[in-house]
Amino acid sequence: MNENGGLQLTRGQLGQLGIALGSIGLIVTASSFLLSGLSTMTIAALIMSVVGFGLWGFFLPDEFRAVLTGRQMRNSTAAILSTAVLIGIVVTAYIVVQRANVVGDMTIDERFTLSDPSLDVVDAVIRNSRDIQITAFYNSQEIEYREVDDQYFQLFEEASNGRIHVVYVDPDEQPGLAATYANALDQGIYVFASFIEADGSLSSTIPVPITGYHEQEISQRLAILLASGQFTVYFERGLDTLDPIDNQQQGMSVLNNIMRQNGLITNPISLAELAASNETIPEDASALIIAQPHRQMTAEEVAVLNEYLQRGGSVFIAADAMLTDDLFMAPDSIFNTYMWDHFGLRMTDMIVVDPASSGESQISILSAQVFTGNDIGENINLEGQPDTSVQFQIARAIEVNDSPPVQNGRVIMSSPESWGERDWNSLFQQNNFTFDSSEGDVRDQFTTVAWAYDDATDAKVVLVGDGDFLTNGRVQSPQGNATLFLDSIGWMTGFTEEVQFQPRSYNTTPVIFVGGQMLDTIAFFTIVVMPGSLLLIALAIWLRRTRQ
Amino acid sequence: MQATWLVFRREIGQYLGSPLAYVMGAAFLLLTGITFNNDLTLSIGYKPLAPALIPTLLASILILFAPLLTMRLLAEEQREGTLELLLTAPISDSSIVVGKFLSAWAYFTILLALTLVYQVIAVSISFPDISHMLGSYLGIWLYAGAALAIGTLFSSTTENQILAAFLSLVTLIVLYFGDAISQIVSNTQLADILFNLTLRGHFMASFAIGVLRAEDIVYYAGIIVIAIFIAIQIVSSRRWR
Repeated sequence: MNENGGLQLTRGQLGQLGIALGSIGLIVTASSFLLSGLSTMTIAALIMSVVGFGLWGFFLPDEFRAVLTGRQMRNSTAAILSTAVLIGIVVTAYIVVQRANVVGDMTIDERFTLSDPSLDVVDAVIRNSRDIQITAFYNSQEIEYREVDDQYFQLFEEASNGRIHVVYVDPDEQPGLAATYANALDQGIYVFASFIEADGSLSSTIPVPITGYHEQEISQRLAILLASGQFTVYFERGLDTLDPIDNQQQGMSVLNNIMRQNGLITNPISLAELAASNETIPEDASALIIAQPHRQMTAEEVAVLNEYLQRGGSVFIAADAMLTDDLFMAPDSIFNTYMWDHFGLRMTDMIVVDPASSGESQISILSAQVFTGNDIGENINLEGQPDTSVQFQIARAIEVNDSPPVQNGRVIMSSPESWGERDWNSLFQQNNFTFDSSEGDVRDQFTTVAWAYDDATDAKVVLVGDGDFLTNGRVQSPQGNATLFLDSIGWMTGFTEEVQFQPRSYNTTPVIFVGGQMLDTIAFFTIVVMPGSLLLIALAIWLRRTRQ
Repeated sequence: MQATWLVFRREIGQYLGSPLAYVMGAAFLLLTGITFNNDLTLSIGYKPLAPALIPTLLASILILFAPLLTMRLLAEEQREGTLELLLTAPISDSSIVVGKFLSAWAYFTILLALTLVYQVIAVSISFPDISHMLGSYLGIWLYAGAALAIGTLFSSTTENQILAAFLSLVTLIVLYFGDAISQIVSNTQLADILFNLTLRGHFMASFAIGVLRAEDIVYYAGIIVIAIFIAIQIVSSRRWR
């Protein structure tokens, strides 16, 4: 401060201010350059630094000259400069090598090398007209996961010659973009695959659940993406069937959503309306689903369905047991007769009661016997996985013609102890079901799911004696219910064949050769003998030193 | 080269002639032995032995272990005044620093090699992923080299061994938990840079899971070269300070 109270700075103070400015500017320049490259901030900080050191040189020229020409300064400057150059060389080498992405897979299972089935999928990507984008969401707390996942993504990116692009999105920084994927992100799915359209927009986006088997999971989903849009499944809605949009317990939205997430197109259709307008089921129909219809089909509706099947259509029928005069596929109904005549399958008038293989009651039957020699049954009743069984609350028995007009077969049967209940009134109104041969009840092993295939027309049929298992409330308890439906759709549409992906097998196996005694020996040697030996050597050295 | 070898021999002789080094080795083997047996018990009939178990454990142990190994390397010479004698001998500064650093690394290598006994046991009782295991051992050996180089650097800065150990401990903690710091920042780019600066980040996301990335090898080699070079400059500065 001067005598008048104003601020007065000496040349020395201005010079020191210049040093401070210059140093701070230099640090900010380096930090800013590392963070954002040659940005406005970097240039501004660099200018500040130059101005600062300029002020120093201007106001304290002697000190400035002495610092630059002194012996200590020469040596320390040389040391700092050579260190800076060395750091620069190392950083440059690191960046070059990082960009070159030189990676070696050290695992015995070659987990970081694309297997032949994966390369086949990548080949299909290369042949495809559209590029694919993998969009992966990671926030700043998930960088380590990103580092691991990135190694797999790069494998696909490189193998596809850049046709697969990987884009990382921070959901915290781009909440708008993340909102589009909110439902899946909430379920822990953070990777998505989409086609890139000509205008740069994304289409046919499907989730890629990552659970640890990255290569297999990414390949499988890419195969599904490539197949997406090729298959259209229609839900019959004119027979008062399950609603595929309804997300209540009695709706069928869960299965509909799963199909859509797997790239299948789903649409409603009404056989009655088609019959009335003299139209046919669309050409693009890969399959038709008739889920829990509440009335019989008319002759006109059967005709529409027949026309579709004659040109190679596929139909999934889930015919429930209901106490009604207008029962769908009643024994003497037009459609039941049609199915018997054309496919050798028909519904009976019996409800299956199974004392040996059932859930909460004997009419809540479990899949006692599964025929695994077909695409539909191979994932049901897997050993040691009770959730893969199928459970029907009330199931109708299906009769399978053993001398059929086309190929047919059974998928699921009840146990040999089961019997067929014919008194539906007693069962539905009083929950009473006892075996009574005088009322026509029959002891037998009954079919509850069957299939038929006409190799002349390529028509496929799956007939199930229950409809409830498709509802949101039942479809995943047990999980086998969903498997039965989805594998049926996969077989009928050809979707399974299209996206079939055989994952590699892994060579590493659990430790199995160790007995209790061997474990003790190993523990004694590694925990006692090895460290103990070093301690003894330490003791010997110490004793020798103290004696000297 | 001859001078470096002389310094190396003298230093490794000091390690192998010191009871404390064997006590440290015993503690090291006890810890790794318990970890190995624990994994073995958990694996029976359930999963393969974790190929990178011991190296992954060492990645964290080295934060404490490296400063203990390196704190006396140059700090003790300075405190006792023997560094001045060394500097007057016909030995270059780089030979002194490099020889001392290599001796610490060699001592660690001996301890690391002893843990290969676990892998021999693993091979005799199961089908472990040997190549994965060897990759992770290479990774932790480089990681240790970087940690020991940092320890050597701080040992050259002071004559107080405790201070040298403390400074390298703090630096290694920062370099180890840098990814934890990256989790605090909200900017993904900054978090990515911080993660890629950490010792742990270059081990856990590659060597530990069975991947050998050239960038990780360059990173560890770079840390070693830079730290040792700075240490040489600091030792050299005694001539003109």
